[in-house]
Amino acid sequence: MSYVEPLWEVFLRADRGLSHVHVGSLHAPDPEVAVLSARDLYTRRSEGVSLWVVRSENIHTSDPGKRAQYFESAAEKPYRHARHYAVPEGLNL
Amino acid sequence: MSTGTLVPLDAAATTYLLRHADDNLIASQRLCEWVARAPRIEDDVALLNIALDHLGHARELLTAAGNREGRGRSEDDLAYERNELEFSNAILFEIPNGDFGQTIARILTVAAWHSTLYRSWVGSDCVELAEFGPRGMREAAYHFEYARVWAERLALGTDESADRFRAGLASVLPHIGELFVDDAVTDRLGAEGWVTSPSTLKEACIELLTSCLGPLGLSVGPVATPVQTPGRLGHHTEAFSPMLAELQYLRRAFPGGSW
Repeated sequence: MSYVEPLWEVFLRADRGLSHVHVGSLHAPDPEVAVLSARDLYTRRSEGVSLWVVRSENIHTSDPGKRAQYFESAAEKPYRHARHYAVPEGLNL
Repeated sequence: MSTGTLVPLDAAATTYLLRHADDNLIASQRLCEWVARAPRIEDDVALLNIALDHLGHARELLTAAGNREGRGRSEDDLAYERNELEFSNAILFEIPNGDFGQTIARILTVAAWHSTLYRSWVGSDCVELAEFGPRGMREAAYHFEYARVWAERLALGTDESADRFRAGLASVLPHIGELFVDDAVTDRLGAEGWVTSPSTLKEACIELLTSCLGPLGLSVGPVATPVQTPGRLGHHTEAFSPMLAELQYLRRAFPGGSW
């Protein structure tokens, strides 16, 4: 059999108020089976209350080769973090 | 048990609990045969999840039966130390898995039955049944959903998948009549208000099955009420003994063993 079922990414929301988090991927022929399989593969130990599945091909990613130009310069800018600034004397936090 | 003799209530409850415990234990064992053999790894996990649900149900009902019986038999004693003739599961649960199409046909049929049965337990005056009802319903509803989704895809898929699913139904459906037979046990419990007569659950069960099969151009067909309930009486099919031997082998080979 040469047919390979498409790949889906699975996102799980653990609780009310939290956001869906990527937990893994699976193969399925269509959305309904993908959700069913996600339930069986990823939620059997009370891990969550809501599932999303997305076709992997619909996820577009940043280029791993461009990691430096994308992300590393942020590390050199501590002034972008509140912690960088000294708390003025007399300010009671 | 001839009609006319009044079955003691505890004995009737023990027998009734044991029947449904055995149905679940055998359903679980059959599904376990799919380990590492399912057509997709996702369904390997799904089939075994359903097997585990059935095992959990079997454990709860076996323990309840043991307590009702009052002879100190544990769930393990009942599961591993009874012989073929003492098992009271209906034949539907023990026939071989066949292919994936037949397995889906059985999961669908069993889930329709269990959804109907467990719903009838909710609010029962028998505390074990009343407690079990809601959880049983919830899990049977998922089994039904799983089987419905696959039934749709098999029946409307390729010619071969449709043929196989149809053949699977043809192997499974002739055995559902046994589930709807009333006898001295269910009459006694029914008179007490503990259970609904199986015969009155037939319509709802078939309606649920038809809700899946109808849109696929399939039907349950006529369901005759059989004159005998072989499984309930311990008269099993040829395929039963090898399966039971596999289920019980370890415990019987190493009595009292632990790890």
